[in-house]
Amino acid sequence: MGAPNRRKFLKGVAAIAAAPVLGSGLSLRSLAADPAIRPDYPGWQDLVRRGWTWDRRTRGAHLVGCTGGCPHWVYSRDGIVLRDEQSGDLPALPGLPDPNPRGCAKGSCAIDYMYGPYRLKHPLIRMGERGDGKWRRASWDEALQLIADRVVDAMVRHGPDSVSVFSPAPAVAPVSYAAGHRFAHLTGAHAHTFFDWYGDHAPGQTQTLGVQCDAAETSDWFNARLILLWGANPVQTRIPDSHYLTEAALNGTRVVTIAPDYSSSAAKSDQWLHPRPGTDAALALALAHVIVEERLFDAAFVAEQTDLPLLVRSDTRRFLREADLVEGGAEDRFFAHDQASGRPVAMRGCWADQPDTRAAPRHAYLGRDTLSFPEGTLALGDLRPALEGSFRVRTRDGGDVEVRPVLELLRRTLADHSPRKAARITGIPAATITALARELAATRPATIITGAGINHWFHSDVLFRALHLLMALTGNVGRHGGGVNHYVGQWKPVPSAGINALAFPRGVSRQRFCQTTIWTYLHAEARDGIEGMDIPRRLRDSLTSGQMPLYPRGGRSPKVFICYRGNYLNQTKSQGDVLRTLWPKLDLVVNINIRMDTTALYSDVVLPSAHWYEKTDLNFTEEHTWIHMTEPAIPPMYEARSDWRIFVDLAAKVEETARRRGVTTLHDDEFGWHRDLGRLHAEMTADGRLARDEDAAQFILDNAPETKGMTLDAIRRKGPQRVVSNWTSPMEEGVPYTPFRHFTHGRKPWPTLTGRQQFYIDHSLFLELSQELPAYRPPLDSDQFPLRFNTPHSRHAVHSTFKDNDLMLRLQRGGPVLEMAPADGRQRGLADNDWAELWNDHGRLICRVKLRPGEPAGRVTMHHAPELYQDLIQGGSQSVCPIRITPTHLVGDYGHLVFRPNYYGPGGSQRDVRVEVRRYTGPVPAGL
Amino acid sequence: MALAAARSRAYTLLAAATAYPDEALWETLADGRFAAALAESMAEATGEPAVVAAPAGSLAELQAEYVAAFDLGRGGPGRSLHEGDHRPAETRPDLLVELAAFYRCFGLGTQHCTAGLDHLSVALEFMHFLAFHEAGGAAGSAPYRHAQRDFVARHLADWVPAVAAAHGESGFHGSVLAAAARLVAADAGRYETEPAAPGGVGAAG
Amino acid sequence: MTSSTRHRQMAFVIDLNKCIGCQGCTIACKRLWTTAPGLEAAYWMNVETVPGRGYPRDWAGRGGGFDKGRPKPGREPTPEEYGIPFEFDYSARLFSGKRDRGRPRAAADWAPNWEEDQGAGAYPNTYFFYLPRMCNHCDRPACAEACEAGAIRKRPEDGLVLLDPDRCDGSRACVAACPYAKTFFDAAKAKAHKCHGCFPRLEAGLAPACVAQCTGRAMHVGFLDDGAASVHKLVRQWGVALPLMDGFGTGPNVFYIPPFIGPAVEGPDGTAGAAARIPDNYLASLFGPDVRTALRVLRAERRKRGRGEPSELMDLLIGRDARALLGHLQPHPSR
Repeated sequence: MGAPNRRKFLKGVAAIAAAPVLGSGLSLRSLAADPAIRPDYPGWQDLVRRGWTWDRRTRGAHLVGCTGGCPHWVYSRDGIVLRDEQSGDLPALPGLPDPNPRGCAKGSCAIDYMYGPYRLKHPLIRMGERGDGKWRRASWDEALQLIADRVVDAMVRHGPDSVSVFSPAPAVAPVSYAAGHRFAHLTGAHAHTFFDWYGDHAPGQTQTLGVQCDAAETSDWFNARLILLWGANPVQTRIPDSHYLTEAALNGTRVVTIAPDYSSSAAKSDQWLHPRPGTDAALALALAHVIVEERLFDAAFVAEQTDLPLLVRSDTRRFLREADLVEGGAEDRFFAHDQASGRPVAMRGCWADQPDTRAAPRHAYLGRDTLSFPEGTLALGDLRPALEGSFRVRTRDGGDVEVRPVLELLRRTLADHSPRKAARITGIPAATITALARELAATRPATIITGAGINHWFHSDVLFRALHLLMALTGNVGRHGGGVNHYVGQWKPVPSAGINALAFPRGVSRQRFCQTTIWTYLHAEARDGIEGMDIPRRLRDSLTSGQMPLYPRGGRSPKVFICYRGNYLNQTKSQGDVLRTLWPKLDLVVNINIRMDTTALYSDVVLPSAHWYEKTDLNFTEEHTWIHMTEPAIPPMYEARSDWRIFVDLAAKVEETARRRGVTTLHDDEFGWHRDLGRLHAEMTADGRLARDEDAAQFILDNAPETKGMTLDAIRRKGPQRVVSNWTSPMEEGVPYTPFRHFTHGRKPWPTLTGRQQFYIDHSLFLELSQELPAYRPPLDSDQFPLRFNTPHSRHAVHSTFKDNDLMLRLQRGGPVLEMAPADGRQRGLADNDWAELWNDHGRLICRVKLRPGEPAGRVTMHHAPELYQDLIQGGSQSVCPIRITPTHLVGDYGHLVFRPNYYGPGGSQRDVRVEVRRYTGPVPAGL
Repeated sequence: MALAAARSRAYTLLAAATAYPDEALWETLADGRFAAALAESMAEATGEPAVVAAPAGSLAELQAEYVAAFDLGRGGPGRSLHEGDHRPAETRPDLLVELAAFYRCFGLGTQHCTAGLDHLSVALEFMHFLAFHEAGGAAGSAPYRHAQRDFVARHLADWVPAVAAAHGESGFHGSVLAAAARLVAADAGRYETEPAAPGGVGAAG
Repeated sequence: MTSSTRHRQMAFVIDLNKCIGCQGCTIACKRLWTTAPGLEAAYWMNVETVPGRGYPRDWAGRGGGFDKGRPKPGREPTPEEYGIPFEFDYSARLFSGKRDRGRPRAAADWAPNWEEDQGAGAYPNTYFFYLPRMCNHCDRPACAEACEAGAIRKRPEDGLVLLDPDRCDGSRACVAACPYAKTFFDAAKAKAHKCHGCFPRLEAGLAPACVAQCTGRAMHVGFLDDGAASVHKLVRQWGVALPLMDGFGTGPNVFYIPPFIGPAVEGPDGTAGAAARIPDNYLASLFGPDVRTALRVLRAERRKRGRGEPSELMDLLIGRDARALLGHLQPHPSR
């Protein structure tokens, strides 16, 4: 249809919409008549006979918090989406198994969110209490006006930073993500981190590597000769990737699962080690003990790539610094003892060596931008750094102090982590530990595949440092088929520069990012039940010294909360405190959603968003390196609009409201920014250049080196396109992406304080807590209850998405279950499928029990985050999980340990929850 | 022809009354014109007038009542005004394809149908359209009549009486649904006694 | 059917080492063929955790098939054995102000995947694996022999066992006769129905949906007499793909690579022993006595790859090119 026709057509529709109710003529409201078409009715059989044929095939992606990144075809006819299927056009890499077909059963249920009963059709305004589920329908104009009024009120009365915008995971839908963040950016609202908050970020990896996170694409698993699945269950939680695991096994690779339960992945492994929950670091350090004691480590790799040769002063336990030796010397230049010259030598690539060409914070995922260093910076040349021994140096004030290489100190720490001791802690025989250590040292490449299973421990950072230590000692870092590969969360928006340019047009440093864990903990006044760690004081110190951020500033409360593309309330830890304390502080809760989820249910205004098959967006993942897209198979159904359009429309409404009230100019002291709300809509759309979703998507591609030269049209026509560059390694033709090769092979400094993989952290807090080196810390015993509570990801849902899908629920038990060891059940008089009550000091839930022989006694498991309206009698998994803040995660004043959104900050601790379970004998309400 | 015209009027009134209540509807409700028009057209179409309960309160209250009763989702077992909500969710695309095909055969576009293709008010509006053209008479009315017969048998008769029964006759919407169910039942009964359509009516028309 | 017609057999091989129990095949099949109202409880393809009671519950103990060549009486599964499909009414909670939770309307006490990941054995020596089950398109289909209406036939060109709904008289004899419980009854239409091998797809040169959409890449399909097809090589040449419960006497054409990778039994001191965790006897009860040889061959070939030596068998199972699993068929529509 040409443009003039379309205009005429729309005009006709407008006339029809005004048709009178009582007119005696033809009166159409929903249907639009085209008088030019003569009726052609062949009988219903012919209508149906056309059956499953389609007239349109479009590209589709599932824009949920899933790392799959599975390209699909969407088949539609007459403006109705019929079905979808994996597109099957991901290119295979030579010699590696085919990546196709990529996509799981959940993806096949994507269209249920278009046509199912949970779909949001119209803007809604709450009628009853929050959570009652009583609504009235509103026009877009009314709903947006209501929001705009409250936003302007809050900005004027409480300051722009009293408005809060939450939306996670840019990688899965960067245009949608950027929409609300850009709105927050231009209005001065604060925005939220998510990677840390959800417990996906591994602080121990950032502590060691100075990188937010990076992992190999999963086809690289096939290259490994030994795979340790450490607290990871990819068979259930990385469904489209797990064929690389089974195929590696068929290819002769040995697979070892380390997990307390006999999981689906354990069943696919050659060996299953089941440490007691939370004791993994004892096992990891015992492996390191054997490798170091028996001198099985790769000395050349360790000397060049790690801080193990760096000298530490015995008197202060701090690194020997240039400032210790010479007047005016740098605080952040470090030394090794050169056996060739017999003298301490400054090692290259330290923080102090940062060249003048220090790059802009373009690489927000790096502790500092060391990629601008020349290749070979770390090469040792003739240096022969000592890895052991004790030396004396003369300090600039005339002192004579003992210094020792980190490895020497590590050896002492490891002495306390022998296999025998680890056997007592973990329950794994010492001989088994020793054998595995020797195998690990002798097999290359070897990889550790890990994830949330162990990353949600309070002391997960120690554990991750230990895992990195194992891979560094064995020289498996930066090697295809090797390394620590941590796959949790959709954390890798590969073309981050493009997304940042769209979401934060004046720079990410001018985006008010709060750290969501701290934000929730403080505004919800969460009770963590921890005694003796001095956490409130440490948190206060971290905030007042500016190490970690908090918004709104000055002890004020947030007033307006806009949440979209995330089920904040359902997923939050300390859920009871959030509902009781944080929620009442909010004057307005807005949710933008395709479906009525728990957060929407407890909101004041709910706006219907376009489904994934009704809009244009891009899709990225860390699990493979191909970019793909989704595009409208049909226009948004009902009154839904794309997220991008919703925020553009909201910007227009806020601008109009601000003009009407004469408050268009706002001076923003924090950034020295004169905000002109009179230009909000123009800025939101870049004067119309970014008016449409497609414009925004292309803008991302155009503004990132990883996607240089790519067009939406090419992705649409040719299929998924491989990124041309990547975060920490070059992209190589025909070879899977393995991270950190700029450092290991290009020999550029690591982005840490020392320029090396850093196992020794001489920050005062780490020293105070005796965590300068990784050392085992047992799980918390703050909850005085007998059973550990384990809340892993589920096979049949992506967090809360698909939890409510009928087809998925019919392949489960119809609702959430609590898995428990038969012995634990028997002891409590619980039979399979009985109702049970689970509680601790933080909350309570009531759900059905499934007795599973593979579950260890002393632990119960519930797949995390069922919706609060699902088949439990009370509560949800997050009812009993408090927010707990690990002190070391609060450090923000040490080289590479600084707050940057989603780079470093307090994260998950929900593995450290303990509960009790008993038979539930109360009434069981009938279904609705 | 007189019957078709009456049915056409009854269907358009019921379509308006089963859509989300708006100002235009409210005006005719407030002054009693709607009730009178529906009573008259239903009497002509089914031999029995319809009694519509006058809504109490304001338009806003009627709107809230509409949402709570059945506008969104299934609104309680069997109460939704979306045909697709009365079948398994995964079969909705089939249904929508068929409905769109029905509409398209008569040149009716659905681009601006924000209620959803399978909403009762849209289906009733479609019947209004078909009956209107049937009433227009002439030789070309056969496809309109046959489509009404099929559409009632395959769709409306299948679920509208059940929804009306689930909702009960009380209140404005209850009485409107009861009337819709009665009109659909009357149509279905009449079509049953009609001979089947000859094949290829479209080509003939 | 004339004697000159070439009888061919389409066969399936499912590698239980690669099956990850994701239910992708279950849903691919379900959405394509059994979504009509009244078919909620029917799964032409299902994946069950074994050891377990399966779907429908205790399907293997209902009789059917043949005993010494003579039809053995069978019993139709009850609705409870299939599991009453869960229905939910979330909308009442979400949109209409009802306070209660969305829970299944009927009592939830059985479903097609009810025993997921439960298995057998006491911790730590627990074991389980996933068993996808579909119509076996048998050489001697018990369902066809039981059907007096002649509605079920095995067609010669690909050996698929097809049910003609127009001829079906609703006697349900086929439902009782199939020892694998893979014929179903649609009470609404009073007709039986079953897996038809996705013949509309096959006729368009496409692999069946369960195979095409298997993201674990665990399924092979092809003609058993096609020397180039992986099914031929695995069943006929290597003899490592075995039918399920051949003792029913129907001659199944779905074959399984038995699970041969897995942790060993653990001794009381916590160290791993030599014995496989899944008892050989249990595998033999599913796949017959030949499973012992198959396991030996599979383990030996894998060890070769461990030593860096070539193994055609492991390459077949890995199937680097997705098309290598599909015989002559294509995975997806080209347009």
